[in-house]
Amino acid sequence: MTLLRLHVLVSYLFAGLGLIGLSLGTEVSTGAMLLLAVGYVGSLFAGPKQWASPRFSRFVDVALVATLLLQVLRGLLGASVLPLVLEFAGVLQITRLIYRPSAREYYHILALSILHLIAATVLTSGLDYAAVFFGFVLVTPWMLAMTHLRAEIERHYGPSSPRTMQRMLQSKSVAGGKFLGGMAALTLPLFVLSAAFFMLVPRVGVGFLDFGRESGQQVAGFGGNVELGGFGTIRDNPEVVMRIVPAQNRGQNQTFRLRGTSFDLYDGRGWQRSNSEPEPVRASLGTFILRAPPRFTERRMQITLEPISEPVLFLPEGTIGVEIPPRISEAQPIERRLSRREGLDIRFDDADGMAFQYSALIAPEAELSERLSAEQRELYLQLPNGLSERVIEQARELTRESVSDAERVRRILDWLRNSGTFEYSLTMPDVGERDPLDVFLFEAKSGHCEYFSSAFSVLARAAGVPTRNVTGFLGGTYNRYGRYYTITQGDAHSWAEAWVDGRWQTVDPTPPGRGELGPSNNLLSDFRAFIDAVRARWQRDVVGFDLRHQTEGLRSLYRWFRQARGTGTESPDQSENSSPSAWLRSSNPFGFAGILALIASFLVGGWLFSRRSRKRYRSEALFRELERTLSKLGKEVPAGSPPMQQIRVLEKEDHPIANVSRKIATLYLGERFGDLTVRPTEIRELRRELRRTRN
Amino acid sequence: MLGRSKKKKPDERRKLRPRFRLTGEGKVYVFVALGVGLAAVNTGNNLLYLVLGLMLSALLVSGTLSDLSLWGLRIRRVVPAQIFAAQPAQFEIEIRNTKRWFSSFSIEVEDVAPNGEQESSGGCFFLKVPPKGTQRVPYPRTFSSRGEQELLGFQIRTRFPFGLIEKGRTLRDPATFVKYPTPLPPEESDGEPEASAGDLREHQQGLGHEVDGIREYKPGDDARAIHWRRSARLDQIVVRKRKPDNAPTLSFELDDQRAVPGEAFEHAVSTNTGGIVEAHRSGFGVRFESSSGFRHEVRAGERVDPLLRWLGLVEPGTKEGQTE
Repeated sequence: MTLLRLHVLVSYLFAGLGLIGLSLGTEVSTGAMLLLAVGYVGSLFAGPKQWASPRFSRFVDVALVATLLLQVLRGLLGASVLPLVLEFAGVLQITRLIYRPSAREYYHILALSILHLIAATVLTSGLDYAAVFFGFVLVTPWMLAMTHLRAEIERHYGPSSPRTMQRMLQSKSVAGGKFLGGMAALTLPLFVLSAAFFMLVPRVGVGFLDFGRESGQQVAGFGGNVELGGFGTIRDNPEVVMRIVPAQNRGQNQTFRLRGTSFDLYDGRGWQRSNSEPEPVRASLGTFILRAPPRFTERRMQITLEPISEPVLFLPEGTIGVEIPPRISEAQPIERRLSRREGLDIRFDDADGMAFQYSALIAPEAELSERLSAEQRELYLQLPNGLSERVIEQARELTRESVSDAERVRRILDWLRNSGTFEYSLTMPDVGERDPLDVFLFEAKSGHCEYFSSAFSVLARAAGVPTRNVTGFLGGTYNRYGRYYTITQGDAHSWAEAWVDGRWQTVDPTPPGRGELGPSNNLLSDFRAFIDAVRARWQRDVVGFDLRHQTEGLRSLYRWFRQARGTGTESPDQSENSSPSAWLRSSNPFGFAGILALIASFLVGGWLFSRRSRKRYRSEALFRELERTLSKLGKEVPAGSPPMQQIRVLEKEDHPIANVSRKIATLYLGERFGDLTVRPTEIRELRRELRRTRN
Repeated sequence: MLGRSKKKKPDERRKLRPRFRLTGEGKVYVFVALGVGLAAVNTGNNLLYLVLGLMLSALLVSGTLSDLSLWGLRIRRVVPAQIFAAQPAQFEIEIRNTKRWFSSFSIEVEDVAPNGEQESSGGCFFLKVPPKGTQRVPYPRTFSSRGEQELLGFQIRTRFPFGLIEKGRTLRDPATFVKYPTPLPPEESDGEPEASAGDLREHQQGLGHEVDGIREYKPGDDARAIHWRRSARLDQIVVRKRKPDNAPTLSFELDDQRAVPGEAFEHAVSTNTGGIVEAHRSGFGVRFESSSGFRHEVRAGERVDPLLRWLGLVEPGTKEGQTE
C-alpha cells in the first residue's frame, strides 16, 4: 500500500477511535452519533478534485460555522451544554476529514482525536474506555509517524518539486511492512511507559474541577418501597453487582446470601419501610461494629460493590462488623460513614460513584443479643386492612395445631416450599386490581421469589409471628479468570426473616427451582466472565487507583527490588510473597499470556505484512541456491557487483558450473526485471541441472 | 581531486553539540499534555492520568527513536572539481546507514561553513536510508567570491518518528578548497592568438590531436576525452592521453603588482578567467603571465586547474614572482 493510502487509512482509524470515545456514555444522542457516522463515511468520498475547488473549502467553513451557531442556539434554548460541545467536537473532526489536502489537516485530525480521548474520560470510566484507550496506544505511533513523514515530504519536496512529492507519497517502500511492524512494536514501550507514568505521578487531586461521578446501575428492591412483581424479570440479567472474595474454599461452587435491606409495612400490593431516624454506626479500630465487637477470629469476606443507585451495604449472614478502607480525596484519607435504620438497613453515606470495597467479618456462632420491643413487635405483625380473608384463613389453617412460633414458621415454610403446591416461575398473570397474594396463593400458584417471601411474611404475621420481608442477593458464580465470585443483577432475591426463639432467623420460602432459571453456563458466559475479570482489574487498578494504592505499590516495588538484590530483611513469609519468583507465580497468568499474545501478534503481523509487501519471484529460490553453491565453491558473487560479471569470469575459466549459472541468472534477471513468465518446469529442470553439476 | 574533503575514518569524526529542540507541533503537544496534567491533578480522574502517561511516553519514545535514527550514520561530502564564484556548483552529500536492522528516516544534513559566512547550504533531505544502504543527494551551492573556502562539517538532524522533537548533532568533517574567479567573457584586447584562422577552426573542433594511449580518469578531465568503450571493458573510467602538439596558444596577462584591491582588479581577474576557460574549452593552449612574475603555460588538452587555482587566490600587490 502506498504511503498516502496507508496514512489515510490510519488517520481514519485514529479519528474513528476519537469519535467512538465521544460516543461513550449517554451524553451524545444516538441521532447525533448516526449523523457523525454518516459524515465519517461520507468524508471518504471527498478527494483532491473537491479540495482544489475554493467553493468546496468555503462550503466546509460555512457548514462548520452554521453548526456552531446551531449549537449556540440550542444552548440558549436550554439544551444541556456538554452534549452540545461534544457534538460540535465531532462535527469539527468530520470537517477535517472532509477537507484534508495536506499534512496540516492531518495534524488537526490527530489533535482533535486526542481531545476526543480526553473528553471521553468524563463520559465513562468503564471497560469501553479501556478498549478505546488501548486502541489509541496501538494506533498513535502509526498516526504520528506517518503524519510526520508526510509533513516532511511536503516540506522538502512540495514547493520545489511537486512531482517528486507525489512520487514519494505514492511510494510503497517508504512505509512498508517493517516500518508498520516497527511502529506497532512501539506499542509495548508506550504501554509500559504510560503505566509507569500513571503509577508514579502523585495523586494529589485538589478537586478544583470534578467530573466523572456516576450514578451507578439501577438495582430494584433496595429503595424505600418495592412493588410486588418487580424482581422476577431481572433473573437473567448478567450485569455484575458485586464481586466476592471469600477467605476460604475459593474455586469451589458456593452460594452466597447477601442481605441488603428489609421492609416492615405491607400495603396489600407491595412493601415499604417505615420511617426511622438513621443512626451512625460506631467504628472501633477501623471496624464498624454492627452486632458485636470483633475478636479477630472471624472469617473475612471481601466484597467489591459496583456503583449502584442505592448505597446499601450487602452483608452475608452472621456479619458482626465491617472494615472499610478510607476514601482518598485530595490526597487525604477520609473515613467512611455508615448509618443504620430499623430493620438492619445499613447504608454508606458518601457514595462517590466508584466501586465500593469492604470486608465483612463473619461469626455465625457469635452470641448475638437481639431484642424486639413491643413497638417493634407490633410493627412486624402489621397487615393491611383489605387483606384477603382467604389468606388469613389459610394461615390459621396451616398453623392450627402449632404450639410455638418455630413450628408455625416451619409449617408455613413447608407448605410454600416443599408441598409441591407451588412452583417457581418468572411469569405471573396480570392481577389487575385484585390482591396479588390472593391470586398467587389460590389461583396462579406460581411466581417468583418476591411472591413467596411476601406470602410467607403475610401468612406468618397472620399466624402471629413477627416477620419482615428482606431483599438482597442469593447466588454466586466463580470467575476463574479473576479468582472471585460474581453476584449479578439476576441473583437479586427476596426472602423473609422471622422472630423465633428470641432472634431474627432467615426463612427462604422460594422453591429450589429458582436456580434452574438463572443464566446458563456456555461459551458466552465464559467470555462474559473473562470480560468481567478484565473490568474488575481495570476498575481496581486504574479507575480506583489512588494515593494509598500508589504508596503500597511503590513499597512493594521497593521490597521486590531489595529481594531481587538479596538485601531484603523481611520475614520469611513476607519475602516469599514479595520475591520476584513468587511475584511471577502469583501474577495473573492471563495477563502475561495477553502481553505475550500482543507481542506475538505484532511480530507475526509485521512478518506477514512484510511478506505480502514484497513481491516474490518464482526463480528467486533457485537463484539463491545458485549463490550458495557458488559460495561453497569459492566463486561467490562479490558484494555490490552484478551476477553476470562473476558468470563471465567463470566462463573465462571454463568452469563446469558456468553454463548452468548463466541459464539461472538469465532466468532470474528476466523474471525480475524483464517481466518474463517463468514456468515451474523450467525451475525444476534447472535445479536438477545445478545439483547434477555441483555433485 | 581539487577540494575533495580529507578522507577520515568515521571513528575519527567527533560528534559535537548534540541539539535538542521542540518542534512547533511538539510545543502544541507539550502544551496539551500540561493541560491534561493540570486537569488530572485537579480532578483526580485517573483516566486523565492515563492519557497524560500516554502523551508523556510518546514524547519520551520520540526522543529515543530520534537518536536511533541518527545513530550509525556516516556522511561524506563530494566537492565538485571546479567551483567558480557566483556560479552554482553541484555538491553532493553521501549518507551511509551502518545499522544492520533499522532504517534511518527523515534525515536532514546541512553542510556547515564557518560562523558568519553566508554560504551555508539549504540542506539535503533523506526520507529513508535503509539498513546498510547508501544514498547520495546533490545540492547546488553558490559562493559569492573567489578564494579559499572552508567547510567545517555536517549538521544532521531528524524529527522522526513523531515530529515532536528535533534532535541533531554536528559531525566534524573539515574541508578546504579554492573557489575560482567568476569567469566573465574575455575582452578583445586580453589575448592575441598566435595561430592562423584555419588552425583555430581545426582546434575549436577539438579533434586532430594524436592519441598517446589511455590513462585513468581524474576529476577535472574533459568528459569528451573519456574512452567509453574501453571504460566499459575495463570497468573503470579511462581517458585518452594525447601527445603534446603544436596547438595555437593564447596569451593572457594580469597586472597584479600595481593593482589595488577593488572591483577593477576583481573584474580583471574574472575576465582573464573567462578567457582562459573559453580558450581551453576551444582547444587552445594558454599562456599566462602576471606583472608580479607568475608565469604558467597550459598546452591544449592539459589540465588548466593549477592556473585557475592561482587566479582564485591571487591578491593585488603580490611581490614575489612564480614560474610554473
